[in-house]
Amino acid sequence: MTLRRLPSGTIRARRRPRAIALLWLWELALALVLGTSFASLARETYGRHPDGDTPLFAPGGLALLDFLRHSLPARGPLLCEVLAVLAAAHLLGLVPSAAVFAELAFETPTRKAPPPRDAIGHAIAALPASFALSMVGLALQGVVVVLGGFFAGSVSTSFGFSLRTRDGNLIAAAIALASVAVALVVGVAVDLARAEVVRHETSAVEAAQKGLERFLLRPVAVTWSYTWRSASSWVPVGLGALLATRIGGRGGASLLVLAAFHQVVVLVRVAIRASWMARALRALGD
Amino acid sequence: MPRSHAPFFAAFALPAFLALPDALPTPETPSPAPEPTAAAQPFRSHADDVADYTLRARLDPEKHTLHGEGTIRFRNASSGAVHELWLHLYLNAFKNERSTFLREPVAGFRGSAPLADWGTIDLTTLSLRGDAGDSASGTDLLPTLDRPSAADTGEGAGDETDVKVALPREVRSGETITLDVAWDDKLPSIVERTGYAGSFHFVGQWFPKLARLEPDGTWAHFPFHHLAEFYADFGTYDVTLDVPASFTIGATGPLVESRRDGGRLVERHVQADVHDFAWTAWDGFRTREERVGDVRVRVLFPEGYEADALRELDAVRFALPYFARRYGPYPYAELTVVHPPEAASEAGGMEYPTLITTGGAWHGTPFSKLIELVTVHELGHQYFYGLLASNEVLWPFLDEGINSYAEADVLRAMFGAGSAVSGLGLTVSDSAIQAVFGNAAEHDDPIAQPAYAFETGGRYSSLVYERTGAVLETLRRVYGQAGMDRAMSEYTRAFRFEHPGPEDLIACFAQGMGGEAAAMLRRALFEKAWVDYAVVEVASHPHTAPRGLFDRDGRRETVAAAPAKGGDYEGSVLVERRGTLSFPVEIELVLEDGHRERVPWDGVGGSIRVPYRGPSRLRGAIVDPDRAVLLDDDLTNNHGTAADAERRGADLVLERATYWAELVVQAVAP
Repeated sequence: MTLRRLPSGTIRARRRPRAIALLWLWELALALVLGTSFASLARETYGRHPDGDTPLFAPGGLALLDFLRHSLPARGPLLCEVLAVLAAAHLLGLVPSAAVFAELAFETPTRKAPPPRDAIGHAIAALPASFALSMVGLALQGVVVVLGGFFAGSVSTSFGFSLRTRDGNLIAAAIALASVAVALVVGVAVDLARAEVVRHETSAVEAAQKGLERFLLRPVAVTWSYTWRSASSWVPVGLGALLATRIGGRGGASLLVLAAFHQVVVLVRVAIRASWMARALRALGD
Repeated sequence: MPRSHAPFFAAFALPAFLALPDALPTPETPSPAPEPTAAAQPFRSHADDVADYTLRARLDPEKHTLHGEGTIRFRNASSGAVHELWLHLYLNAFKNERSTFLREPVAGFRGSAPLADWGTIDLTTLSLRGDAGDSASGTDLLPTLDRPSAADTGEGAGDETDVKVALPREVRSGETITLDVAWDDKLPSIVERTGYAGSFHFVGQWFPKLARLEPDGTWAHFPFHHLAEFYADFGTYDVTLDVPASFTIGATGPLVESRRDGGRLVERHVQADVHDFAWTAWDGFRTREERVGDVRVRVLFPEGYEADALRELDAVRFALPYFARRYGPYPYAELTVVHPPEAASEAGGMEYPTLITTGGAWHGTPFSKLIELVTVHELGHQYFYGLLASNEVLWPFLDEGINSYAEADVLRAMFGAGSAVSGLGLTVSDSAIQAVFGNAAEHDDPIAQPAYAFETGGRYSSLVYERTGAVLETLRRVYGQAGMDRAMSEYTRAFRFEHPGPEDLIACFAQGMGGEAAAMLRRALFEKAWVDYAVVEVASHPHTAPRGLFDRDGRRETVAAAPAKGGDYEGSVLVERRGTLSFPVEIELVLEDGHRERVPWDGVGGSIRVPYRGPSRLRGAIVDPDRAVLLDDDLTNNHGTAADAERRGADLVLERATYWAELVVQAVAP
């Protein structure tokens, strides 16, 4: 199907609930791979308990610590699996992420959301450029954070010798925060470039130039748009923690309620991210 | 000294789970305070003075040196005559790499910080003072100074921490002598429990100190070992300290005299009924002070650590009266809590009479109770080390282990189930940490052995601190709070201002808790003993009349299977006890209809088959459902489900792990 570009001013995440739901399902699928592994480990031993794995959550944590101690041999394989899933989340995640960009940026001739197959087609076409931009972005962010960490550590240590630990820690924290802020700005610029790749089907280099150019037009506004969304995405997590403590979720209906509530938290966070992606597309203009 | 694995578990376990389940029955509820008994002996108020020190010391904080002089008054409290004196010069542990301390290849736990500057103590005067008619009066003892281990060619060769001098005449039982002493210290960079970092000075083991003379006339003397602490006689310490006027001093005992003298601050601290003296001086200290009962509590801390100091004061405010109720009144007027700067963290977590050191980051630890744990632990040492002055070198479990139990008891009363970690709905108790780490080391070494016999710091920590704490907590849970109160009350009364040994402790448990408990205590301490309860088999089936050939009324009849009656089931549960310890436990039978029954087992045999007959099928069984036996090596086999029963799975773990995995996936997603 031939898709047409939406005018940038009309791009809104709330008009693409299906895309948000599909991205949530993708992340849920990845997380279930890990969740199932941890649950299998618990099932090996506490599956035989008349109360299931409830004792692992008993106050005091004795059964949990004992379980962790006896599960140490599984630590290596589990860690490998976690790393593999996280790598997949980032690399394979480029496709659903680009597909969401496509869903947001285009519409059908009948002014409907693009069918998922077409959005994914766009995403796959954009994959080489998205991958290149992502890798360059990660490398830059890595360098910034490592250098920041190194300087922060050095400052903290040098203040430690003069016994002004708190001063040293505070300055080190400021340096670390500054490096994270720079890494965040890099991430924002990369997001603009990835959006450009999908929206205008450009090469990685052209997209990087355009992304940077558009970012530099209004750097503060764009960065702020990202930052407040990113910060607000932790609000549902905090609320979730508070409510989860009250719900309990030891089993039966309360566990189902808790699970549903947790998924709402995750879905809200996906929606906030989609909102940022729409904002990135709007920043690119027409 | 403290230990804590709480931060490790906080980092490892906290992110794994979010929601707290509804309240479950837990043995983590605070223990009631012991009821005073009319027949109980009063607690002694004073120690028997044996070694009194009157010392003066002047600190040069630029060179990190100290000149000291004074007198040591020693009374031969043993049954025999004494012909020699043993002295500990423990700063020489940091003199060179021939010292026992630096030669012992012990890794982990404490004392592993690289030594950036050496430390020494040089005796310049040691002479005997006597009556006018005493021909030995004024005898210089230094020419007779002998460093036996320094002359050795074997292990410990070159160590200068444990020396003896010959006396010109014997000192009879009950006789008192006075020694004049002078010495020079060079403090090391901060290591273990002494030294400097910048202008911060923590001064421990800084004077020539008499070893302890045992009642039979033998000297209990030791070189300074890597993992070992101390042992000494009680006495009165009258110490005058001279530091730059800009410095703040914290020291053992109350301040009785203070003056400024030409840019110097001179303070005199006097404390009776103690067996050591330590002090600190720094120009960066802030102070907070308050009275807790009759005790003046003073906290010294670096700038910016006010929040920690408040937490430390809170902990002392709670723990001091708590300890007093359990183990007798705190007999001193003063308690000084020192929070060293982070660059001198090796000075943190240490106990001296009326002076303890703590630690922790200035920004606190939001989920962990580490600051309170260290403070309470060191405060507990005022009893288990301070008042009950056991030999820390030979039997470190008597101070560190019992004190770990006492620490967990106080923290449970303060914080409940989250006595070590509490946050994001997860609680971890200090006792649980002690149990799991102690059990992990149960086959490595016996608990009851000298500190220097432990090959690694990890084993020492896991067995001396954690496992001893878990052994005592197991006895409390299994044999009851009342028995524990009786045993500990007897121990802390009978041996207050004394030097108890392992047999004294075991005798108190035999008296307060019974012979069976005492036998388990002995085995757990001395024999690398362990235990693991396991549910091996759970089965039930409908009850039917016996089948087969039966002789009745002179005839042989064949009885075939009769149809089972509904609501009548029989079966059994097989439970095993593995290992060399045994404790009475309960076995909980869980029925399909939701009912539960508990059956007691004395735990003496290797196994028990618990018969069952009832209106519902057996679904499963749990041995020790209340988790009384913290020493149980493996809790993952303490339960079983019948083969024909539906398994419950691990839905909670699946839900929480999936949720947290989603959050992590979102963090790395593009």
